[in-house]
Amino acid sequence: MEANRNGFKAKFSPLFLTVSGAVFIISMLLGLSLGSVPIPLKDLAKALLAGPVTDDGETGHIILWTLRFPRVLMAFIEGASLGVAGAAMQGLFRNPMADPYVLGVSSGASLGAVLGIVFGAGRVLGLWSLPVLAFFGAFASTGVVYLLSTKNGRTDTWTLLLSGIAVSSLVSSLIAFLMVFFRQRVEEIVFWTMGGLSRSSWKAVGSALPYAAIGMGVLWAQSKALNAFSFGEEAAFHMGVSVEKVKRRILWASSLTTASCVAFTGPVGFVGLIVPHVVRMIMGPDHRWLIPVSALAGGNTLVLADLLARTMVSPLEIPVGVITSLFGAPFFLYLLVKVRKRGI
Amino acid sequence: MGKSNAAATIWVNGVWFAYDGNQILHDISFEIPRGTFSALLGPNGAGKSTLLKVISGYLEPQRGQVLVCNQQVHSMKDKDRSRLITYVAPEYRSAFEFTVEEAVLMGRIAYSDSVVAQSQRDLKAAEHAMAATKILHLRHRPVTSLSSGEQQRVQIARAICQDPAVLLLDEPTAHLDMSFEIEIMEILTQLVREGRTVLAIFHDVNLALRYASTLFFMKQGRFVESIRPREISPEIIEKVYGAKSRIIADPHADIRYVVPYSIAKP
Repeated sequence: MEANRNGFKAKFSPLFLTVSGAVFIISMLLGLSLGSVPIPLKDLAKALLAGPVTDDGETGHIILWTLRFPRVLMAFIEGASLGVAGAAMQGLFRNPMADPYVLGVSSGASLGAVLGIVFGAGRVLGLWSLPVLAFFGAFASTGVVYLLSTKNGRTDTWTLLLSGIAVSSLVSSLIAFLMVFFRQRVEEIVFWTMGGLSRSSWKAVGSALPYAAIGMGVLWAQSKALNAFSFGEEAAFHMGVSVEKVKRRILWASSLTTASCVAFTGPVGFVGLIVPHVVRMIMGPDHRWLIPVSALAGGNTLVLADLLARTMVSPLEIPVGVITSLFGAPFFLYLLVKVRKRGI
Repeated sequence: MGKSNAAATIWVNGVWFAYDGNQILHDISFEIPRGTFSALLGPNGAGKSTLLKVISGYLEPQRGQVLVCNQQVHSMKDKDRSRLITYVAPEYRSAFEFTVEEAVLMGRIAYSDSVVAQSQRDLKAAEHAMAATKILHLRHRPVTSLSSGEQQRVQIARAICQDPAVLLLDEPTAHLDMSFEIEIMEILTQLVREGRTVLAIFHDVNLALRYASTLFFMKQGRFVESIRPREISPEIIEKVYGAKSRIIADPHADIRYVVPYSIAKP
């Protein structure tokens, strides 16, 4: 029916579900099977079916269950989180250049986590406390960027990007400070500034997942309001959106979503920029679809990016953040040129 | 889709509004009966847009009361308020490429608590609103590709889709050429016929004289005069706009027009 073209069923057509399901399964299988020690598909199936047995002496089993599986899951959750946080921030700021990394939210989150680590909060309170600390860092950065760049419900692209740069630099210098004061932990701190998944563990996955799920769920629930924001906050108000309440919700939920994984991996750049942008080109800007599809696409993207990071110069490993920036930074520049032409 | 039973009245009493220390509205009081078409007129900077946003609930006055259908707009829940009254700005710019239909359906946000679902009722309301504003053929076009006249109709359709008792419009005919202008006025007239109350700001006094049943004149944040179209006089025009004018009658209809001819000497 013509009138139903925007309905739930039309967008989530069988073809779309099949294709995205297939992409998901293929990227998960690739992520699990390939690495410095490849696990052939038939062994992979056996090891997966055998369950988390790590004492039967088979190297493939041990690698799969203690290292690779949690790592692939972590990559998926983080990619999904960054995709969703990016989509929501772009909606909130009415600007396709917004992204947790570009706006310094990711670095804010990693500062929170680093503080937790050097002062031992992770050890005393448990791993679950790291996302909370990262959340405070992320929230502070988001808040500062928002207050600096948005005036009367309008966001100027240049002010937005400049405040992101300012916040990022401030955070970097604070992290550098910590490196000087905690020399014995420099290596650990450096890891946080690069963004890598090599430290993934089941515990980290378990600690990140609930925060990521809550954050993403809350953001998805704001979909219709985010749509209305496209016409400006005043227009949204007249459509019946509780503007201030929704804004506050998006600010904390996108901070929490970003922080959930960044607390364990450090900032991974540009996933939150590229993924929603590409999804928007395919699916349209409606956040009701944009957000869940960005989650799926972001998860797949980071699983594959991490695969590249692990295997490109195997057995050496490149931090996944380096890979995403390698692809993301040129894309960012392309967007910048495009936005400039449109004169926002 | 009319609201013939609701007592759609705008009642404004002793409203004062200041912004950044500038007093913009001074003691404004008036009321508008249900199912009428009223025009708000006055020179630039008279405070017309501010007054409209005070009535819509967006700006909160420092003093005074605003009742819409006997309810205090400033203390209503956002969703309840926007089912009762909505506002259309002179210009819209969308950050993302929503289709016309998606933009019109945004008028149904206040009717649903669901994250994803759009009811058959929502879809029907959008269909009706697009038909009433003659934009059905544009439904799948991105709003970012439309002319300003088309965008204006999309936003009026969004407002109709919201099914409010009261519509406020800030210069709905700004930047439009003559045929679009008349089309918008016909749409607004039809809304009034359905029992809704329309209050709109116009730049063009003659357009208001032809379509509105009451004209409110403002100057420097104060209410100057409220008249019926046939009561228009050169004195009022001089008082409000500071221009000398003649009033002429349309020989084919019972309508009077203002023809300004010089600036009044102070």
